[in-house]
Amino acid sequence: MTQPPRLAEAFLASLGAQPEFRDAVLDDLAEELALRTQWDGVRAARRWYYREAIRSTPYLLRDWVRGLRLRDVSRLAGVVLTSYVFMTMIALTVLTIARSVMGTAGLSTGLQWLGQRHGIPLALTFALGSCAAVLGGYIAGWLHARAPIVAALALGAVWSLVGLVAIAAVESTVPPHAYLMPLVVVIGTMTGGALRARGTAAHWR
Amino acid sequence: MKTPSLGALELTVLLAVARLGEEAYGLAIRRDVSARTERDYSVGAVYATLQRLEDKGFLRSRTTDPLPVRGGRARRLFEPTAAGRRALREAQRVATSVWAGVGRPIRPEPI
Repeated sequence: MTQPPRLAEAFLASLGAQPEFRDAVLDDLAEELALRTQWDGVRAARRWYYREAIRSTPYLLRDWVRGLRLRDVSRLAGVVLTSYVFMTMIALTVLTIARSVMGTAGLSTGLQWLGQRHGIPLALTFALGSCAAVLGGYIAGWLHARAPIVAALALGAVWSLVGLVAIAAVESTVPPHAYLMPLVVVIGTMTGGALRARGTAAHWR
Repeated sequence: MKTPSLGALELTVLLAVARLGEEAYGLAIRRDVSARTERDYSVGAVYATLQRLEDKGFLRSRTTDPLPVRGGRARRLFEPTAAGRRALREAQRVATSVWAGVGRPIRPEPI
């Protein structure tokens, strides 16, 4: 029997829908994938699966929202807060180690611009932001095994909001690319969550 | 107590379940609905509707044993409840009443 694309299946399974609803949707998708593989070939069937996965995402998310209780919301808030703190600590530790290594090597001035708000190369800003976001999303997904994608998305949303508020409060002249960072953060955290979901794909079966 | 109302897709899905009988599971229902309405509904949309109908008390479901084939999966079969059958009869009565007196087929508006 044709196996569904692992990443797409893990993504759908990670949206926090109730197990009964989730399994029914995934089982039907898998069954139709097998039929379409016989009729249309593997590539067309897999394309259909990806398209159908995207179309079914809002319904799985709606089922998650439908089943939300106060304790689920507080748990999600806890996961977001913990992963935010966790990720910040890791980022600070890496920076401190990098600074001390560079300082020992006599290259400390090379990192001084990292502490400046202006003049940081655009590509580096986005690269560091993306890495941190992927890491944060992965941690959020790891802490919320039932709905890693949702947890990662929630972290991305909160993180972006905090970033926008901080920019508005601190900066007098904001470089235009700063407003792209929330998007980078959301995409990064979602990627981290998806990576975590993919790693645990076998668990829900 | 007032009977919950039926939306257009809910009515179509409930009719498909009634029509399919023992074969009323997600994939078959989706095919039936898509073929009859000539619209490609997503798997999620059909299950969301089935769930709404179950919440309204018009459907009940049970899960079968996994199918006796390699990689066979369990199926969730649906059937209309007594309230569901009543709702179908009522919908049919209302539709018949609304259509009464329309003698000729309705033609499309001239462009």
